[in-house]
Amino acid sequence: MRLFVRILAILGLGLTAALVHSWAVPVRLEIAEARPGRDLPPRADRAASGETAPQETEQQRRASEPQTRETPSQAEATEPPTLNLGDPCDGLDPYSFTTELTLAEAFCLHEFAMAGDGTVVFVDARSGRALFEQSRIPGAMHLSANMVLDGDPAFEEFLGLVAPDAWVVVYCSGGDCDESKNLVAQLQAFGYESTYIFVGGMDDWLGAGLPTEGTSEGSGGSSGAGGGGR
Amino acid sequence: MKQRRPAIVALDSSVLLIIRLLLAGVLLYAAWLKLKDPASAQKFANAIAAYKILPNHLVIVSAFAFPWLEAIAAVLLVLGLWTRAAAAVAGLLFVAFIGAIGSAMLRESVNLTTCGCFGERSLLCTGPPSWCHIAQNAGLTAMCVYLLWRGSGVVGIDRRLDRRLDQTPDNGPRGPGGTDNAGGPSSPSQQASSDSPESGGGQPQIRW
Repeated sequence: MRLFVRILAILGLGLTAALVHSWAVPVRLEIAEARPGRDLPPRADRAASGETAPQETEQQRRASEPQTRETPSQAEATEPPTLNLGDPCDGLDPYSFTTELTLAEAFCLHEFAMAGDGTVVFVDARSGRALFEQSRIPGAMHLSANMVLDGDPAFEEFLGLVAPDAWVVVYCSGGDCDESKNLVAQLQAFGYESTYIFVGGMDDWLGAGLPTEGTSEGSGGSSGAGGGGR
Repeated sequence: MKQRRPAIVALDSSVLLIIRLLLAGVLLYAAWLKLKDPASAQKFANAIAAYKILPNHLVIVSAFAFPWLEAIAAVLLVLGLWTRAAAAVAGLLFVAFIGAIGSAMLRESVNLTTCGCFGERSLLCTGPPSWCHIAQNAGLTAMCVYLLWRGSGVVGIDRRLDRRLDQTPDNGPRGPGGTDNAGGPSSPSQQASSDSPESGGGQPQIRW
């Protein structure tokens, strides 16, 4: 009898320690059902990556050095030399992505977005809806910072569709565009912590010959037909 | 019925001590690799989730509970305190691991790249769950069963603790450790009382 009491005591102690520890250390589960045979990213633990840099400083930095948009494409050229169309995330660890995504990283996350389970969502932040309708990254939603500020019905819909722990990848046209950063600042205020900016935007996406959808692109359809213009 | 010779007692206790330390080392190593930083805990949670056995809401708690139980059992084994209970808990963990590994091997929908047993490291076996892992855990379980059967041996806190607990109802409260410290391992009169289920009965001398 004493043995059983002691066993229970040890189990209780271990469980208590585990509960306290799991409260102190953020561990999040990936949603495993959506894509059999592959892991989906759990929500980013952004404490380490020094995200939420205030938007003003970003803008100041950009104002002082207007040429900074070159760096992402350089970084992208050095990190993964070519896109692996068969397995976009080959050699990449989504958990290690910083808030600014290279083309290869965005392409990797797009693979998850195409699963359609809401774990990763692509958002087109370009201000005019016409651009979005003409050509967009497949599966992207349209949302701009102004729409958030105005309480646009599309934003209400976004709030309903996208869970706060989803990874939100925001892009605009690329180059020097600011819409992504503005929108990310707004989204963070609404509790979306895992926000990423695909800095290369539409320019890099099209430049790599990746598929798009929309009226002007002959509606490239699903994500399969990559690499057309390469 | 017969009194064991001191040499045999010493040998037996050394074996028990070695098994305890070995088991504690393995457990501590496993626990440390899973708890050392948040990234390790995250990886272990992912590993448990990949087995697709536990529902999601239990995965995170168990990701912390398993290593903590390993760590607690290890400390108790080293101290020789509550040895049987600690061995039982460790044994239960190993049996659970064997069950998980076996079921992962049987189910084709589960494709694991690693066992996850020791975080990103491994003990004897590497790669995805295999018979090697089952054998490794079975060996560890056997050690636990042996300790569950035999207890801590001469070296350990259990011996003194149990003796005091057993004698309290008969003799009333005793001074804090006076006789215990004086008694030492070879005091036959105090070995007479035993709480161990398997050596109870009519063999009071066989109690280490």
